[in-house]
Amino acid sequence: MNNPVLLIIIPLLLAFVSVIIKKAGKWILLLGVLINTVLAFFITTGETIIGGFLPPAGINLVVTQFTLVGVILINSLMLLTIIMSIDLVGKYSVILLTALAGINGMLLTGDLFNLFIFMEITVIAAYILSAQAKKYHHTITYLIIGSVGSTFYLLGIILLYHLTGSLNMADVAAKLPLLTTKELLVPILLIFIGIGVEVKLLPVSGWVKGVYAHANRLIAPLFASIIAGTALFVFGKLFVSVLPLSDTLTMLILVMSVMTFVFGEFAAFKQKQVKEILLFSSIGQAGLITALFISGLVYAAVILIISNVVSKLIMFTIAGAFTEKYQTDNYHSLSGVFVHNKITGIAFTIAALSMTGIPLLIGFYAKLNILIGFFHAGNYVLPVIVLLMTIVEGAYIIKLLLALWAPGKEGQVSLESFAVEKKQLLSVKNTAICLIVALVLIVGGTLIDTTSKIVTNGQPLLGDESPYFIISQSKGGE
Amino acid sequence: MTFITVLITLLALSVVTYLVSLINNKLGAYFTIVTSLVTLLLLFLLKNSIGQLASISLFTFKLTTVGWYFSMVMVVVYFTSAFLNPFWMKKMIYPAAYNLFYLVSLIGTIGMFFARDFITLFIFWETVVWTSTFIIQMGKSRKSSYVYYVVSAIGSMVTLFAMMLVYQVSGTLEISVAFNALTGQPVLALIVFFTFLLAGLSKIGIFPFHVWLPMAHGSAPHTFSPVLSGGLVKMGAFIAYISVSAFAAYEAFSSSFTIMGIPAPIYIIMVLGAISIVVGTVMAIRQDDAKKLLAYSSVANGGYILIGILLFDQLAFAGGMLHLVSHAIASATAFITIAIVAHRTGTTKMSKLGGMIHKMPITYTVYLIAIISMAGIPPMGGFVSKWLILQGLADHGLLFIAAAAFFGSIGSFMYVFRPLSAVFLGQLAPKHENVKEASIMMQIPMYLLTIATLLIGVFPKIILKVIAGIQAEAGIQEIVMVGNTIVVANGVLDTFRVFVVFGYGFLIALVIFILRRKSRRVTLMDTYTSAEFVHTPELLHYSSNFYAPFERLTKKPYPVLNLYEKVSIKIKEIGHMAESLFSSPKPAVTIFWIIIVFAIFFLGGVL
Amino acid sequence: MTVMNFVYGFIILLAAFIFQTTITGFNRKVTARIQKRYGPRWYQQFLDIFKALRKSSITHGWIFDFGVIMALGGIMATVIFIPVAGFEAFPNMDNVYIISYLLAIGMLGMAMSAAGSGNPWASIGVSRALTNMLAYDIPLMIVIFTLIFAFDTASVSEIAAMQQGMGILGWNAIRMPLGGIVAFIALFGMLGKKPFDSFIAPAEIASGPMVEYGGKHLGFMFILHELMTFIEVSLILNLFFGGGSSILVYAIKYAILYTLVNIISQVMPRYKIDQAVKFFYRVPLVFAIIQGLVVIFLGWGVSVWF
Repeated sequence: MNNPVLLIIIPLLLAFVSVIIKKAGKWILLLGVLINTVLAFFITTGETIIGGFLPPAGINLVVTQFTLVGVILINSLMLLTIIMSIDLVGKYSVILLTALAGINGMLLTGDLFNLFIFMEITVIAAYILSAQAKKYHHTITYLIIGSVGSTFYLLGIILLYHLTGSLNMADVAAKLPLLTTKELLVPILLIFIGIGVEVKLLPVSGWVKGVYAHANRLIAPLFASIIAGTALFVFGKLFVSVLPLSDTLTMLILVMSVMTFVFGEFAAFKQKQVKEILLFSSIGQAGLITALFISGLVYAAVILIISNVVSKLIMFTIAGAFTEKYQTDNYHSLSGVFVHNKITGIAFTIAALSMTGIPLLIGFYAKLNILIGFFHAGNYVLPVIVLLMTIVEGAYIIKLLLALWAPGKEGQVSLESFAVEKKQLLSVKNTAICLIVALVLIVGGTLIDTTSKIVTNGQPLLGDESPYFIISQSKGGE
Repeated sequence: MTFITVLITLLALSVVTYLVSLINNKLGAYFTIVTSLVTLLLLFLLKNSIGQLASISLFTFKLTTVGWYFSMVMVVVYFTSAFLNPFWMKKMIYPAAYNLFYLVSLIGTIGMFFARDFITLFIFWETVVWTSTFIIQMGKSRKSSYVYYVVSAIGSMVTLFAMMLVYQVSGTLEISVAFNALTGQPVLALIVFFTFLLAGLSKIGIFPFHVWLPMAHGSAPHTFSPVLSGGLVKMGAFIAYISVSAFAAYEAFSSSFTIMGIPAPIYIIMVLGAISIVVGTVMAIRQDDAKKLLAYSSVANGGYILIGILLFDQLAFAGGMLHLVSHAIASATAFITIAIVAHRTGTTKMSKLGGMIHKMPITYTVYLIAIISMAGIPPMGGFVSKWLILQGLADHGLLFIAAAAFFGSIGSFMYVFRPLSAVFLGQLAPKHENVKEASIMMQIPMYLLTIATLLIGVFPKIILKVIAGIQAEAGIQEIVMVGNTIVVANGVLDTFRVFVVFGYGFLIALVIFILRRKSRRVTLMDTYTSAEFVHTPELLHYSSNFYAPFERLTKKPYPVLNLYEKVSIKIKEIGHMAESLFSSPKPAVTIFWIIIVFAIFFLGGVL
Repeated sequence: MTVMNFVYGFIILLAAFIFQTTITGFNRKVTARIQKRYGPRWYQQFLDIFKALRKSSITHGWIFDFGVIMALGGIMATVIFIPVAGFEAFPNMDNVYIISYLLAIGMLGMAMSAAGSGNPWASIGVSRALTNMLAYDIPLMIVIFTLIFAFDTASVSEIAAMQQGMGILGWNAIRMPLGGIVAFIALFGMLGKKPFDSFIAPAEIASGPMVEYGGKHLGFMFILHELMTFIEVSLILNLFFGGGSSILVYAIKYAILYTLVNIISQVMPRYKIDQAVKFFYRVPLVFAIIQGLVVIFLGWGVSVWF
């Protein structure tokens, strides 16, 4: 039992502390993330009022099972990222702590305007972090697009406030159905685009390539799994439980999501750089996740987010290590890199296979639920698209894995001597973490009942009642 | 003994094998032999517990005769090929992983054959796919591994679609029950039939999914090619079996348009099988690489198996199931012999070999018996199964399919003879003067498999008894054996007599031969050369362009792989387009898109 | 399976050899007369064979010998299974597939031995022979398939028996005329008669599978050739021309059929091997398929001819 507000306050507080004690910056950061992660495991569902005013007038934090999963997941990943790349933190500890506060705020807040504030905090932190690569052109692009997105979001909630007189999510959700679709169109649209920039939906994700492709071992996972994961959780919260969508709008957003999914996977298929493959695959997966949310398959979406962000954490960390050690992440120039780093390779492989949905990894469980959910909803087209994209995804992932594992030209038996020069990719500590996280993917995908119990805690997520797969279902006959 | 115990034992053994391999990979390779032998014995013991239900975690199993049959075939192939593993450890980049994957893929196949529900089936299926993908990459081509994975993925994803569709309709995942929900829904049944079967088709290498076979079989590590061709390909046959037994395709499509009593959907798949026979045969005849040749022959033989199983009757079904065994054994043997030749000489290119018989007579004899069986010549196993299939086809009057079957069967004489002649017979190149015969360890699997081929050929009863059991389990008419004679509606076959009479003929010929004057031994180069003086053995060896006239007739390569490549290029193009449209580094472009989206949504929302 | 079966088998073997060799000798004379020569004596073929068997020979290794023995053994086994005018050494073993595939083991043995000689000409000959086989066998097998479907039996003697009793009109070659034509053309291919003789290439000295043989090996090959001819002609005779109700009828029909093939082939040019494949896939294959469709879908020529 504790107050979820601590999750936001502590990092902010420590951020100030670390401004003062600059030398201990990274240790303070570590401390903050550690405290946050521990606390995340102990918060319980419920509503916390801040400032003494009752909602809808006052500010509140709402912890549902859905939020809880998000908070625990994101904080743990943050912790892992920081532990793994603490050597790169340098002067960014303040920024990272602020970002952490923002992220937790985004996940927890029950107020649309607070969401804007937290989002701004996070995004501004992200701008600064993206500048780490010293590709300022891309940072500026990100800055502009991100600002446009934020502005759109702000405009959207202003309109909502105008229409409903409230910014409290629960309150807004209760009042919106009274309004006509046409009145709601513009605000919802603005909010959608605003969130869409962070979620990386096409066509508003032009910034992603520039930022992700040059990010290092610390920043890349931070963007790909932590900020992206948060954005997806927020998207889910808003579009499943707060904003009612008319059929046309649902259809349009669904089409856009599916387009993102398809184009993202296709673009990933085309790439040669490891990070570019991963970033386009992230875009694609984000499209699928939003499609799931829009279709109301929250459970499947959450499992997919978990599978995806955890995989991406490992993969981007390792991809970051590629550029760090070999100054390239073109997989042709990295052929056989895992020959010298077998355990790192195994972690990367497990993560990659989970992403493509190989059985007994959590990605497969996600795919299973997606199919079951769509079929249950009477949707027979999306499963086909999902499966076709799985083939494309499998194709580029396996191509990548083959190149990284097996050096040598076509027609030659691959030998260790053909591999790139021997360098240790990750330190022992990081390798161990990657492997453990990869094992989590296996455990989560094998002990399905436990996974579903942890994720749902026995309640439907955001009111999603559609069926999902648990072990007893396969034993229908007994 | 329960099945779960067996499964866990095997899993434990493979982990032990892996750990041992980490320390000493050669010892680990010997462990793969032991483990697969243990598997064989355990499976043999399991025969008594047919009907047992078992479950662990999310897996449920049911021990069926058909599953037992398939897994026995698989384990025999794995076990015999394992004897080669120790010799290839030095050539593998990841020997320990190879040993682990070798055993895990074996466990995967067993689990899959005994699966009781779709999820178990799919999980084990995929396990086999990715373990074998990682094994194939240890060979000489990454592309083949890639193609293998992609074609397999196409199959398995489409099948997953069918499984989930059936689950949605029936509410159960149990294979034997789930399909019942499709009765009375012909359209749905049609979709499920084609999609469900696809994994099987892609695995067994049916046209147009056969592209992976020559690539993967041809370039996989030599020790794994026998497993791929003899074993893993047969997984597809199992899916075909499910589609006619549990799915009951004949009942599901009983009201549909029929061709010679065969419902049109099944007939279409059989036609694909027939095309595979023709394509596999034609391409096999054209190959220069012995392994690729054998791989294409697997394509052709996969067609026979598929047709046999899909006919699902007393005759052809028994033929298909028997062909599964006889081809598995023959093809594994052939691949093993080629592997040994490659081990000794370093190549599988037929044009670079020749005269091996003078250095490796045992390997030659084993190969000879294997190809006799593969070509379906009595008195070997392959003849019995082909006979049953051909009789079955004649019984149904399936003319076009039979025409393909005849083509494949005559064509097989051509392609099996080519390695025989080019690799083993003819002139021995001087550089191969010091090539040694296979070592005892390598000879063991060859003997075992050769005995098996002969046994099946002479006493097919051993296998046909089990097949009759499968037929009883599936509820179709059982194949009848009177003594050693197979009795069917339109013919009888007593292979034992064929064997004895062949022996009799051979004996007469031998006696005449011995009675005549002993002939003088001359060297290979001492041949009639029309007054040309050729002193280079390589020049006197006819091995490249072996069937030049035939190759002239079939000059144009068919464009199936190109098709896949075209799709791949298209995907890349669309990906490139998407990237250049949406991932521009200029913020203005994104703003432009925001406006476009806004406009579309606005219009869409207002309208 | 008693000793008597083997004795009968041996008798068939011997009779087939003597009979076919005589016919061959006779046909050598026929050929000569067509070419306006006098021709050898009718027993010249016997003399040739026995002379070859008596001569010294060379060998290129064990496979060279083994292949020859295997070839003759396989062919002999096949001859034993051939039903002659209802007489079978081993009852119920005259399945058409057994005969046609057992024949293959003999051919394989021969091919093996030839390739084992190390002479490239022999290998080329084998490669041509196999290609030729792919050409003629498909149409023929389709027609045979049609017969099996029509009569619901694959037994050669039963199919032969079914054609008897109606005179010439009962013959399958008449009942199923297209099939008969196919079978007759295929017989040329099987026997290696012109226009399909390029794999034996009797006109060229230095090519063909036989190039390395001499002495007893050549003798074996001669015997083999006679027995193979017997099998092939018998098969076509039994399946399409009504077999024979008695040994005498059988022998006469056999002689006529073989001589006819020989006479026709003497006035034929020769196809290259790929031309042969093209020819067989253009004309006989189409005929065979049409015949098959007619029988399977219309039922013409199965039970009633009239």
